[in-house]
Amino acid sequence: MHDAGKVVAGIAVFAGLVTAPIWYQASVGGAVQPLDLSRDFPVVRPGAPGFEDLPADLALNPDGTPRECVEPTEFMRANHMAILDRWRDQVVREDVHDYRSTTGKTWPHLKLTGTCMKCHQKKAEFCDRCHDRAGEKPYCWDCHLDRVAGGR
Amino acid sequence: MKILVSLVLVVAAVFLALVLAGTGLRPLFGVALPYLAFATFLIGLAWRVVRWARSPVPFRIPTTCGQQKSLAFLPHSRLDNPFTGRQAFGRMVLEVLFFRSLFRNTTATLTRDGRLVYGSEKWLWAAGLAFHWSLLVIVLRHLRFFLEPVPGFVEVLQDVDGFFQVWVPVLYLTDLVIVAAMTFLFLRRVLLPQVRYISLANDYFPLFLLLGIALTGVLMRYFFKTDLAAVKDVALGLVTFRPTAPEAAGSLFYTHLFLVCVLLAYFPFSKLVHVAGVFLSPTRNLANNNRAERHVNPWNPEVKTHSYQEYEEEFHDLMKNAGYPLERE
Ligand code: HEM
Repeated sequence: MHDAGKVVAGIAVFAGLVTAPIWYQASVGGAVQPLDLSRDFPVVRPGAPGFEDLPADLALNPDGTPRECVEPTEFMRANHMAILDRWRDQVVREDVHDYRSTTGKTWPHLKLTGTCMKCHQKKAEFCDRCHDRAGEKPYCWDCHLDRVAGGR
Repeated sequence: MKILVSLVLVVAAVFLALVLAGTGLRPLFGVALPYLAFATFLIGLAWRVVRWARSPVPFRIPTTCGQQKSLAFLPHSRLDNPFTGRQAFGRMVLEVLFFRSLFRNTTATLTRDGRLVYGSEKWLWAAGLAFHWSLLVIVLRHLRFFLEPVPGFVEVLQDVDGFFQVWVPVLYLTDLVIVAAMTFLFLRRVLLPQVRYISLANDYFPLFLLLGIALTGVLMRYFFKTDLAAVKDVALGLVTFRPTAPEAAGSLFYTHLFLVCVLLAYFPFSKLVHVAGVFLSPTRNLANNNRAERHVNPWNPEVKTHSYQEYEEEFHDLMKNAGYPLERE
């Protein structure tokens, strides 16, 4: 092999670059644990401490039925941002405030802070954990409050 | 035909992955193939480079595009006709980062009255540069899946790329640019008869493959969304050697990943090795100093020589008697 020094150095630099995530994870990277989405995420459910303190006007179901999310969990994980985006357009441009879910149910009068964050109260513990991990920085919060009255 | 074969191959790969990722074969797509493809990519490329490096380059053969170093009053074109290693390095930097030699691309056309006219042709350069830079930015942005915590420069790249904040999730400009550039490069190949004539399946296949990768990525980001937390588990699992292949990541994701695996495995055996080849091009990476330094071919056989001095010495008396002028004396 000619110019062996330069060639080997070049291959080494290239190999180092393309395997960089391995070295990063082995050194500076944090301990990696898959997020247990079902367990770790604080959701204020009926009966849970703090639930009764929620302002009554935030109630999603006037008839007091147990709360459920507007969509199944799997669907929400992948599509929540698209739903919020569509709501925004519907409310602002078409004055439509109800949401018809993929399960066929209609949910009246949706709001980000007033509906979603009623259960998922703590942005830092709910939204941010996934977003930070995936490197997402949604600009929704540039304007929207990240807490509800009485929450947090 | 070459186009059709390439297209069919890529479409077949898409359907294969779409269907099989939903079955018990998912670990194949999420674990085994990524490792195999990556190893093929790395070892294959190293093998190609070593094989190239075994070919000797005894002489300086750079293509020169400007005034070589000469008398002091002639301005020396340092980057187009480098004389030192540093100047050659500068030339390489411009070549690798900005495709400088392609910028010089010309086109030959016949005018209506039959004259041959050469003109500047920058479209190939512009589309090529747009494609490659977008690819780099996209690959760097993808580090958000492979690194935990996500480093700051990746977030900066995302912010700049999504500067216009169109849609949720934000539209990345590089997504638009890469699809547009590849479409242009494909159309150029099929619409220009000369280019079409010299195009091979080895040209169409990587184009379709990369387009397939970009389009499945775009579909996944903007249209048929997937659970990115699960994707991050897959990516982090691969780099920490604790791989998983959760169903939640979705068939479209495994299809995207499979196409990337095909690309990686195909890479060392295709024209795509130009990524390494550009660094080993003796017409680019050498200094043009042939007139200042003697470069002796190292494997020249020992040649028996007989210099004039030796000749004159040997026949000194004979030459003197015959009345020839002699150098010595
Ligand atoms: C040559 C390599 C690759 C190319 C050219 C590529 C290209 C793309 C493109 C153009 C997008 C659209 C959105 C964006 O630009 O971020 C995308 C999205 C995506 N890619 Fe890739 N990709 C590559 C490798 C990978 C790999 C190895 C993974 C495995 C983790 C991956 C996972 C994803 C995911 C999950 C998305 C959706 C991102 C989102 O929803 O924001 N890609 N890809």
